[in-house]
Amino acid sequence: MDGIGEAIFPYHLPDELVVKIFSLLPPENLVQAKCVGHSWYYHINHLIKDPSFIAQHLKNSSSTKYIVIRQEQALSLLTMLNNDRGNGEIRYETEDFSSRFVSRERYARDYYLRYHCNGIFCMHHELLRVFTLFNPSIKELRKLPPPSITDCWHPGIVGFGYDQRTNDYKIINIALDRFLSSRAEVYRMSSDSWMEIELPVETPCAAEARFTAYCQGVFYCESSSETTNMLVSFDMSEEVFRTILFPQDRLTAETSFECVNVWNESLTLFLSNKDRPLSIEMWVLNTLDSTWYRHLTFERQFINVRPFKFHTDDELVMMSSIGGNSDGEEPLISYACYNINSQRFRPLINVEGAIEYWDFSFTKSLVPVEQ
Amino acid sequence: MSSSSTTTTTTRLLMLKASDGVTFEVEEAVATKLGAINNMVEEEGSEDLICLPNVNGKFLGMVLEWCKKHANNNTNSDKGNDEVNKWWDKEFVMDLDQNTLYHLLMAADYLSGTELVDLLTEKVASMIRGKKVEEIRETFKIKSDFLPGQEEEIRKKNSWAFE
Repeated sequence: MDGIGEAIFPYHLPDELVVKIFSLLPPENLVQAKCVGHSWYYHINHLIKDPSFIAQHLKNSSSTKYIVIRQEQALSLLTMLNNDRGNGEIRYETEDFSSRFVSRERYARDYYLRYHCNGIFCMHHELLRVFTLFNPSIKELRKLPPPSITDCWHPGIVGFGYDQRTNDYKIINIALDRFLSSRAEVYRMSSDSWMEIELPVETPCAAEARFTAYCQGVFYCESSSETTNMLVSFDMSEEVFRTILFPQDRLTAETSFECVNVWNESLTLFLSNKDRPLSIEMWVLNTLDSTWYRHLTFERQFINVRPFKFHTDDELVMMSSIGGNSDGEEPLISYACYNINSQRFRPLINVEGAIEYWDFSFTKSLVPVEQ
Repeated sequence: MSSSSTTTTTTRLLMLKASDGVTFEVEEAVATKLGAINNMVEEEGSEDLICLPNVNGKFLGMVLEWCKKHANNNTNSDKGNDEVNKWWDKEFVMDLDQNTLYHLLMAADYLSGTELVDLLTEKVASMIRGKKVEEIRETFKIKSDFLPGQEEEIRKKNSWAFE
């Protein structure tokens, strides 16, 4: 066993351990590591096209969650860093990936990020009325055929998710047509085509990130009417819409909706009451019987600090927005973190230059989108 | 049986014999954290001496040290213990040299110590994660075996990943 120390890693290890080690690395890191030597090159090149490795990698990478932010000239991924100093300070890191998109798409600047799932962005171009799927971690892009609802005036709500049953990626688009009625269509990646489907429930005509969530193959959107508070859900496998009422006694306008969220792989709802606006309730959905249970209640410091998304299962990111108006002035947005176990707040920070935020559950993946 | 014991089960002791003849006496609850030993105990039942010809004493000792910590800390499982385990794991892998890391990983894999394998593969991954090509080569003492121009070509093809 002499000579150990001379390149013992990773190639003296059994193959399954090498695969395991590689499955723990970010995609860009793997692509770079191809340059280390011949064996690395062939091994990695083979792995990143292997569906079972891609699935294993996705499972591991989902523990690192990113928030997607749009800056003046950039699209970036932001991570909250571990706080080793333990002084409660929030530190973050951003990486700009816009050049990868721009080099693949001429009209990149006019695309809006509409949703994401398993490391793939679903982008939409308002003027060209086209959707594009883009995986920034492997720089793969797929332009989708034109939607089937041709007279669509505005794509109001866009969900993107994974159908585990048929191993397919799907987009659900609820759009307003020119008669201002809501219609729905589904895109399936396997057939690369759109199909209009029946929309049996009333839906809102637009939704920002805090109104939507994707959990266990189901897309959810807040959809309260004047009389009843509820969510509308779309199951990516069954391709069926359902409505889910808010918890009992939280069905009326007395209750304010804060955000819908995913926690511990369950759908979570944050609500407050108009009489006690600082107090926030966290409700968790039991999907088996569609009942809610209240997990906790906590007090926020200021009314304009809203729950946003979990970045770990312990810590909820809160977002505060100050100012901003209809004349196009962007609001000043800052973050605080709330630990639901220790019940401690970490103070607000600003993210420089950020003008639009998406949610915290973006994960880097090797999932291919090109044909 | 000890009357002060909080549990009523008797602790069975197992004798583990490494490839170099070194033996370790460990509680069954500790040794069965290793899948391979758990299987042997279930299959062979009464056998108290287990020979492990693929692991030497030094690394078997380290693996068992890890098992002992985790078996102790798992007896009353709560959030606090989780933290203690995490902290202890961090210390355990912090200053491992590559030779030790390699043999320990081989031993943990051979003994099917799943959690320890997870910990050690993560340690290796952390030595590659976020590192430049040259840094990876330096860490693992690898010499580039590409022909002239080959590496440049791969870099050019994947230039976006290097930006």
